[in-house]
Amino acid sequence: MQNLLDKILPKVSKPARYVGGEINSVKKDWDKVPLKILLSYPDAYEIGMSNLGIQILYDLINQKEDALAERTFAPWPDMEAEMRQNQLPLFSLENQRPAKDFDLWGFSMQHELTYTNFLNMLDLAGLKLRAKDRAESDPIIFAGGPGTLNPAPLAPFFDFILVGDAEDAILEIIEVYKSNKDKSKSEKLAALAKIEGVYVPGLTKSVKMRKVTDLNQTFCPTKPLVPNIDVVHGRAVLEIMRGCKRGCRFCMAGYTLKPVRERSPENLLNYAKTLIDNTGYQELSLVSLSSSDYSKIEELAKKLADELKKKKINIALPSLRLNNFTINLIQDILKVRSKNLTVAPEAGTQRLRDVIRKDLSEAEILEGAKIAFAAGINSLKLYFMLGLPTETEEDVKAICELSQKILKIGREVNKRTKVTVNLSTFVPKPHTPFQWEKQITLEETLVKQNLIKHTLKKGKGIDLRWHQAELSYLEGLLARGDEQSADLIEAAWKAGARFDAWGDQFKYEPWQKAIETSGIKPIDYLRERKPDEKLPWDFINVGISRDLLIREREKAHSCKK
Amino acid sequence: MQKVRVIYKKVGPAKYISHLDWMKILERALRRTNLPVKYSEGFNPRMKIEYGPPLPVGVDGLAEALVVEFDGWIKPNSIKPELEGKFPEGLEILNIEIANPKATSLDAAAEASEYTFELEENEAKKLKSKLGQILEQNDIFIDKKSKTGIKKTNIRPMIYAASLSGTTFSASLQTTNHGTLRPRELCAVLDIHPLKIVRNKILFR
Repeated sequence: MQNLLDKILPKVSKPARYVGGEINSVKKDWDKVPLKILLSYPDAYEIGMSNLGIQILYDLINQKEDALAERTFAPWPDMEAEMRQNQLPLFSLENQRPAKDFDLWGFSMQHELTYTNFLNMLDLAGLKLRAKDRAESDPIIFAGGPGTLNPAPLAPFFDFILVGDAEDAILEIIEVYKSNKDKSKSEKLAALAKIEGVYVPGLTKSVKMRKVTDLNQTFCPTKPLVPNIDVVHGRAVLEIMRGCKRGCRFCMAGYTLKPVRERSPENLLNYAKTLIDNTGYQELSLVSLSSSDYSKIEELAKKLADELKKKKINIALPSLRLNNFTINLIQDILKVRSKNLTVAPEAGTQRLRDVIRKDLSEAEILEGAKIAFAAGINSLKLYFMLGLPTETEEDVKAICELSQKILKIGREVNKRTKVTVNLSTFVPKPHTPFQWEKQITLEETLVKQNLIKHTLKKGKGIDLRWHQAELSYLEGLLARGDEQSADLIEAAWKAGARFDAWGDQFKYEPWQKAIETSGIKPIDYLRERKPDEKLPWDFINVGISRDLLIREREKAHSCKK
Repeated sequence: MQKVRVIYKKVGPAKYISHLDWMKILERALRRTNLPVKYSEGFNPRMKIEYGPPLPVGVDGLAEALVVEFDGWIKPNSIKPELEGKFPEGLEILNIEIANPKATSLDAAAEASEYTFELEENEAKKLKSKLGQILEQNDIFIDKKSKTGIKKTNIRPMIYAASLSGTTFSASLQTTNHGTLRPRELCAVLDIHPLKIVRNKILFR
């Protein structure tokens, strides 16, 4: 195995993706541990290693004496080619064991554009894609992550799916597996189905999303794996809060992760110190969906700054609302020197921001921008969505006007101010008030993007970027997909789709071919749903009533916040 | 101020870590210690570490060198225990000694690298029959890639010594800051595909 790898690795890009041995990686004695779990994120190493969920489960499982957790990620196409040519099956980074040798194999399904990678990994492991076709001795394949909130498109591929928070559930899964170790796979699954949050396709009728109640009592990883190569987030990450108290109507995380749960500043301070000691990172990032809403944010920032600044550690605090308070927080307390800032108005007009319940007025945006520019920020990124419910041409054009206004404010302070306008396409998500809405078609997206390209005044200072229309279209086909969508994903993988989220790897043709061969009608998935229609994710109970979603939707359509 | 010269091994999984990534790993490891590493002045202070000639990715290094600068005076033998367990698998400190603070930088002092290449038997046989001939030439021109582009370069003067013993091919190659012959460039000239390449040692002036 090592000889074969030594032959292959010098030929592939970034070979350190495939060798393990990182700081805080755990290589247990394979023969001495009874339960073996493989953890995967179906994307490249550097993406997967930046996923907090993988880091939590890896640390948590490896702290148990009777279980081990190892990792494997999606091999880059050059590595895939070498593996196929040399008949090298997908292996774990720690003990270099074939994925097939594990008892359980879990995948973090974060978004639709990683689904073909997931299938490719099963195939590279020598496993059949559909759960029903796999052998008794094959590992039990399971999923977690936001992708499971509509599990229908993934259900045929998985033995079970864990919906919701995994910290407590994984320990129960391990216990149940252990006490049923000698039973058949179907008996094991029947036992696992009794765990709250676990969905066994074909067996479970309804699932209650698993939620930890107290974040202070919930495991926090303090020995995270430190990647040996540059990754997306090369810094220590500390989750300060789960959930979001705002109610943006398009946001699945906001709706499904309620209630808001915070970690105490005292705990966070201790975790922060340990994290830095255990990793040597120079930056600590405090993450949550909306950090300004953390109830003791100022106290936390001050304490952390006092403690970490003497060690030359920078503190990053993303997901902030733009106002005087947060600018002071970033610059005076955290002493962040960054010249860049990101704001997400999401829509160009106040009317449309009310429709989506984005709690940000134009006055606040402009005032916030003014403060930011005065404080030395010279590059502002703006995020907008196209195709939001009730959107008109006026709303689209208003994106340009608002951006231009912001640029003007910036230019008055600094002639070199830059504003970047980022456009994405609205994809209606399950478990939100917009789950019944129509998604605009590929052509409509292109028309709206062109309208902006022509309206936005070209010239110095404004940069326009957009999320590729085809990608949003595919996300839309799968986000509200059903079991037939599984055929689409499989057909796309067969036609060669891989790394769909990567601009330089994405190919639309395999998907076009897959739409033809799988026989699905795209418009069925993008269309508006009737309020009384049965939705594929209705059996997942995330703790939000359907009545509430309907009421919020009605308010949206009457432009009420 | 004190400079310390560290000799280390970079083998196994660590041989696939690029030089740039290794620099970051070492800084993270040092940050986890209580060692008073000296930082550069300025807006973005960096640790004052001087590296020997970079080891190509995929090549085992048995005696690589770097120099770390410290504030104040520390016992060289206190460094190794501080760094214990703070490196990824395959990186290991072999020796630490006090360096002359006025010595030429490692980069400027490097002269040559001694490599061994493990070959498959039939490749070794083929090489045996042609090695003498190849080395007899006064000029061997290759297209050398550099930051500024591709340049036709005569690499024959950069091969200081080369010999074959069994299936092990050994070569001493120029490694200076005005010209370096990389082991894989020589492999291409000789048309060999080694199972393993090892840099045994770097020779300094």
